[in-house]
Amino acid sequence: MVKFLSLPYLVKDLVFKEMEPRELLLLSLCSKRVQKSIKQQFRIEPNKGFRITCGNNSPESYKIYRYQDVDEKRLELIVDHKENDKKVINWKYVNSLDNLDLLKEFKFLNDLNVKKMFDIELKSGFIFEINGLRCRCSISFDPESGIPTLYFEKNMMKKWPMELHKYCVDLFRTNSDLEMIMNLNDSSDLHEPQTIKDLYLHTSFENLNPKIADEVFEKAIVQNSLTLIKQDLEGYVSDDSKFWKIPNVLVRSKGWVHTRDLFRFTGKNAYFFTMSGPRSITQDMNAFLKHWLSSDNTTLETIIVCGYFSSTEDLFDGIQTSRWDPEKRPARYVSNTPFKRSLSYTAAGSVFLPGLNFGFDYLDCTNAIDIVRESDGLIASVKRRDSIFFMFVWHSKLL
Amino acid sequence: MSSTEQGTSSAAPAEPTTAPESAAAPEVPESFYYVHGKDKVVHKVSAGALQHSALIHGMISNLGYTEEQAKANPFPFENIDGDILQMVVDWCNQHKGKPTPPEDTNLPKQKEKLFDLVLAVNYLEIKELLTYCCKQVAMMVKGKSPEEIREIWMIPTDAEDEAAEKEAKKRAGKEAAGETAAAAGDAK
Repeated sequence: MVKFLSLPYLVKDLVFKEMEPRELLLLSLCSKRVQKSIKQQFRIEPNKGFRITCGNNSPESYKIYRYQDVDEKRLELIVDHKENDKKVINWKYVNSLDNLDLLKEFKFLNDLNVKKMFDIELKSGFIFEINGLRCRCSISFDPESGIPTLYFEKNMMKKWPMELHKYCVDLFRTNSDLEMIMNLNDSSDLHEPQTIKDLYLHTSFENLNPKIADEVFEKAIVQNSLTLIKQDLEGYVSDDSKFWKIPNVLVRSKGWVHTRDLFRFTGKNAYFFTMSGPRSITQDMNAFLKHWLSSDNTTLETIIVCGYFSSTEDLFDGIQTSRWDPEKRPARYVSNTPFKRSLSYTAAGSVFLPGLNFGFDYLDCTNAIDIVRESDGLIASVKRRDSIFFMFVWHSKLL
Repeated sequence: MSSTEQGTSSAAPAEPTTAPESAAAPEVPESFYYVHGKDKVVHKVSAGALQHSALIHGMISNLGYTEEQAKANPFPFENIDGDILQMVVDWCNQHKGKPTPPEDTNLPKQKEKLFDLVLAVNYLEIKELLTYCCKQVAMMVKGKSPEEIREIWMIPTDAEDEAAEKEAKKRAGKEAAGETAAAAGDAK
């Protein structure tokens, strides 16, 4: 009798090509030999790594946009950040695997009256091992898409997501970058300091204690960007929070930062929202500019502060300024800002939309005021429009 | 040796179409070849149908056999079961000179037959049919748990693999020891 693993290399290759990553992942759990075979023969090109998405646990959000179960987490393969991204696997943590009510789990899909291609059937008691981690779970398949959901008991909560990511990077030989969408108030998936390339926080209408944010950034080492649209804090992140070290930050929510602390930001690009009063904000931004002029910060590229309702008259108090000189810098700033996408909520659920969209050409610096740092001659253009403060630093590559 | 005449109906000369007689190309009589599998049942297949198989096409392209010579020299495929070869021949006849459809629903659903068909088709180098078969193989495990996949595709567990490896090593050791002993005996 012919066994799958005995099939010729070319045949296995063709079979693997006909399979979705989710099917290959489950196949790989069958044995080490089949896992090795997949590693040798299967590769997804192009890919941009994986994304872990946790369901939005904000009651206001998930009641309206019940696009993903609140308890459900999933791993997706990022192909192009568009429709081609592939859902690989979902998982949930339950109190006990022994009395799992799957009909309840799929109630949402039943209500929608979707076309059921796969049977709703719980396959229980499966034990496997990844990276030395022994896992016991039950499996079901989404009746519409066939995407598997693994059910684990809660003791797996902290270990599983990152081990799964590591395993999939190794299995599919993908980019090791990890993108994560999570709730600020639930960092249970972050077992220990974990490098995350891009972190998106779910929209939530709950005001949280800033200590929660500080704790999250102790565990989540954000390599590239943090983006959040709505997650207010009751106060500001601490002075020594790792938040200040994130290279690119887009925060459109209240709390988080006070303008007097902006000098703590050591990243490249930032968009902050502030509720500081007009008088205070002018003084703070003036102090920020002076701090930059006297610093040796060669990292900062762009800083945008929304909520600047004051005039620019006192902004440059004590600072030498000049108008645009076409011989010294171009009229328009070339932004390397990575805020191409932000996670927003629409009737269709959670979607990525353009990160910065002001309705005007915010990079136009023809009317901006220039300041020059004496120590290295670095020019920065500063302007205000529609209650937004902009500062663009002209690094030599842009001139 | 018994014989079936597969594909003979498709060998009938085509009726002239609306093209004027003077422009019509002279009709070349279709040539036939004969193949048999493990069961020795001979299948008569047209050269047109056999074109699907890169292996057979390569074998016959320069033979220039007459009908009699072809009949006297059927291609033996002893590694292919008779019923599997029958399926292959049927498929080649059905798809002779036609563009291959994106899906083929006539493939066997039973895993044993499908795996045997895959091996045969891979050996005979029938590219399109191999693609269909591999799709079908992949379909077998859609919506299945790892345990079900293991059962469907007959994948041994790690423990079984380890045991088989140990056994193979043991056997190889014994064989090597036997050879050494035999060589020592010869030397004496």
